[in-house]
Amino acid sequence: MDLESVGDLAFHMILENLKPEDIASISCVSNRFRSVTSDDSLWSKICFHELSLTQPIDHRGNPLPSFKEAYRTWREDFVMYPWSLVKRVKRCWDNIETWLVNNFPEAKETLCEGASEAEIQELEDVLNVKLPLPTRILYRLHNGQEIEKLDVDTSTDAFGTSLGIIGGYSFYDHLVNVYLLPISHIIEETQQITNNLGFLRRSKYVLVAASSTYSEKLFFLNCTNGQLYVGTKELITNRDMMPCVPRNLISLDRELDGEKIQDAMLLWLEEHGRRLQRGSIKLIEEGKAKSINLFPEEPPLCSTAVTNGVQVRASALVIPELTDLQEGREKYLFSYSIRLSLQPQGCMINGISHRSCQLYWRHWLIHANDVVVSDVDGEAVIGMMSLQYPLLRPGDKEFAYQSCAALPTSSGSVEGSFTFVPGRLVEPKGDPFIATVARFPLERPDYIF
Amino acid sequence: MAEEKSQASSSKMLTLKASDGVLFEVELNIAKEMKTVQAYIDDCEDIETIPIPNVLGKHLAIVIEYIKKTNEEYDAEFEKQWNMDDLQLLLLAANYLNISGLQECLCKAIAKRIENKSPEYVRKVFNIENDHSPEEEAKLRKEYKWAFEGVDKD
Repeated sequence: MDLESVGDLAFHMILENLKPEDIASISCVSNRFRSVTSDDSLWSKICFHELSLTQPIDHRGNPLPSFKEAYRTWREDFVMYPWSLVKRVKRCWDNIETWLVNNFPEAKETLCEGASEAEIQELEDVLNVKLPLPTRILYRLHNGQEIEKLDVDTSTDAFGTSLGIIGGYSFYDHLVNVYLLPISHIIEETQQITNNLGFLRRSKYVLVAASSTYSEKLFFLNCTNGQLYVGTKELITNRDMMPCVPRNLISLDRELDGEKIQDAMLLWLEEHGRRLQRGSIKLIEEGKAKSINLFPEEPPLCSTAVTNGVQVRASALVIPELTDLQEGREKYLFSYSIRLSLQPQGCMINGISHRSCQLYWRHWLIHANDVVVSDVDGEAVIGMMSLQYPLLRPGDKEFAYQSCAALPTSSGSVEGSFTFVPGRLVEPKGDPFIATVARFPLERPDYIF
Repeated sequence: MAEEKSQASSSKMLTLKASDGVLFEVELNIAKEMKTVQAYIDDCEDIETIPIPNVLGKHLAIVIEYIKKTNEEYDAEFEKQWNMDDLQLLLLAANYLNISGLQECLCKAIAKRIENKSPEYVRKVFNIENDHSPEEEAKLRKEYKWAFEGVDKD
């Protein structure tokens, strides 16, 4: 009647059905128990299952002699937090890091290793705030990004950096690329801003993310209600900010089951990771610079239409930093990105395939709710610097350009068309034709990045 | 699995003899679920009575019943019926007879009974003597202190 006769295999099987806490606790029972519970293959499975570890490392990536050691180190290093929340936050970072490793290793390089409890405490003491639990764990795992922020006074380059892991967009001369601030910057910049904007300090806002470029875009975490806000055009004059995450999802109650505690920072990063993994947003390459582009790539936010071989993809983004919530007619600013390409079979008209076609006219119909607010015609498309008449050829990279429109409401749509000639403008090979731009939405979204 | 147990295949009967002499007549396809018995049959084809020296009649009866009836529902109810001693003996039987499904079921059941319990309780329940010295035990408790403290036991 004793477990001695039960083979190690069966013993192992019993242990595999126990939680790590129980395995650890019964190691004290007897020498045999201690021996069987030290089997590192057991701890290797636990490390993989709970933390996705394939190597015995601590949260900073330092190697440890065994998986048993590694698990113990993780549990001890994070003993001040609900373990299920630690696992959830790790999964959030893992999701983003995996995408970065596979698509944007240059940005992954800028992700700093985790902050210590002391560094987080310093932030709380200096700024007189209490960070919500999920955000604390987020920073324990990665302390923001090491980015050389543009020094506005001395730099002649408005481009800042393109390595922000939140990413950005550009239209006309407005260029944004958002990165996560490390704690030292959070402290410095929050103090700077709150010197000018006292309400931010009183209401416990800290700056957590910002654009590294000349164009300003600021994200504040409110430590009282756990929400993330982005500054609008009237931030300074009117304290206007827009919430970035659905309010009903935020749950800070510490009485809750660990992993159900969620603040806006965690929800925001989890959603961002999902979008990257799904391909809803993608990397773009412009010249030598790669960056995460926030214009949606997938339906229903991105429309696609093909006419005579001309493919037009279109999607829009709300631009909170240029939105003025006090305004009447021109309240919400949206930027839209149009991508043009010619399919492999060329420009097909009446059974004839042309090797190129060129744009010379555009027409836009803009709706706010369902009312037409704008009906514009014009020559060419307005690119970065000037009018452009894109020439499309099969096999070429998509021609993309961005423009913007202001709406009195947070909801609307755009549709339109381009007039093309087969061949070239200087040498048309046939009659002009209309290529449709399928209707795409202008929507203030649930999650603002 | 249900098809294997139907009467459609060979209904050759086999006798299993428990350690206390109790005899059980079972169909061949039931007996084959016990890999140890299968090996016996492979070695000596004509055998009719197979001795099971390590298992009491009481437990062999339970094992045979398990093989006949096993499915998700049955398994879930199965493990609730037995006390710790029986569970251990059944595990030893399942081990010896090499019945993987039953082994898994019993291991889960035993794990369920010791989860969230102290080392003292586990010793009592398995009738195990603590052969750690006080220093050794203190060292282990320190090594695994995260399991004994922490914010919550989720």
